[in-house]
Amino acid sequence: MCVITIANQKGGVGKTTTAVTLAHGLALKAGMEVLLVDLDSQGNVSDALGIEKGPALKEWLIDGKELVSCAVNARPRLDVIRADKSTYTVKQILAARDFRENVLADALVGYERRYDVVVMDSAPSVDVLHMASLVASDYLIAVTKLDQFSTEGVMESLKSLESALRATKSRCAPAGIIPTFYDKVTNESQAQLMNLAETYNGLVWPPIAQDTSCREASRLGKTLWEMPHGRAITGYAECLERLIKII
Amino acid sequence: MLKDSNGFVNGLDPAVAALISKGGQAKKERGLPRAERAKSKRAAQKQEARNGSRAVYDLDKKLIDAVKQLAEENETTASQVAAIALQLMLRGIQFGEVDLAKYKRALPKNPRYGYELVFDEK
Repeated sequence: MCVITIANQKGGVGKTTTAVTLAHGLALKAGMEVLLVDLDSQGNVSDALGIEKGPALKEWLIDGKELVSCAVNARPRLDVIRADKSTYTVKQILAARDFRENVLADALVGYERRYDVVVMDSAPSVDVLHMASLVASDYLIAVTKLDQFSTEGVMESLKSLESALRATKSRCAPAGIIPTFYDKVTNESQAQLMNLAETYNGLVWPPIAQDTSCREASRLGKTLWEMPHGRAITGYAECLERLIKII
Repeated sequence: MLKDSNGFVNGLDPAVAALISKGGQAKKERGLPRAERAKSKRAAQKQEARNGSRAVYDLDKKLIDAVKQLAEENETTASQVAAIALQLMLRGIQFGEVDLAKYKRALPKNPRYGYELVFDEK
């Protein structure tokens, strides 16, 4: 089982779209058994998949229910641990616990054969769930919009990974940085892509083109693989190819 | 994939490098007059063709359509179908299953080429 965290401490950069698209891509294109875990109290993973939000994360991590009874099957070979506002309570309760960073790693024990890949969609903040996901993960994928604030968020995400590596038994490694909202005709997109490439070298994966089909897909509760072929899915297909090679 | 001690992959992803290079070119072109822009675009297309991953062949329209149809039927690109067809033919030649000599017709007046290859469907 390979665990992947999708992160950036800046919001609105396309983390959830990336997490949902890669998770569904792994299930659909690579035939892998995938668990997608929503760690964000906004519960947008459920919206993106067209399912109801729910307190599954709390039931799993706090109430001690079995993973299989909390997860819902959203697509063939794709199970989801949904989130909603109860995720705030999860964070509050975990904040008072010892060894809280291990909560996700511990909760996944015993499911190594059930799932080939676990994708965690983290919230845009450094909180206990973010640290726990880094401890549980093998790889971190940072998603960034091609603007100054978002690319700074990548640096922050990598710093929090360094902290997790120093302070815990995390063996998480950076797998890639996925630039999103790429607009090839604007100088800023190009400048930011060059800046990322110069700073992070081969860690930068092919950018995801700005594409209105992403917003349409969210509204319709469909993944990009279920939408008419748009510009964004071309980039995601390339990123998926790289991800499959890694895992 | 090669990684350094920090876990970073060495070398730029080829797809990213290509985009950065194309973007730089587009930026340069935006400052040029229209005629110069068109000229620059043609030169870039030629350069891309010369890079080795793209070739231009003159083919019969029927053949182009047949490849396109086969590609659609197999949910793939025309380039993929053409690549497989070429590989099969090259392998056929290598193993003596295909003999180009059978298709050769002399072109005595052509200053550059000695033969044309004609495929008789009968």
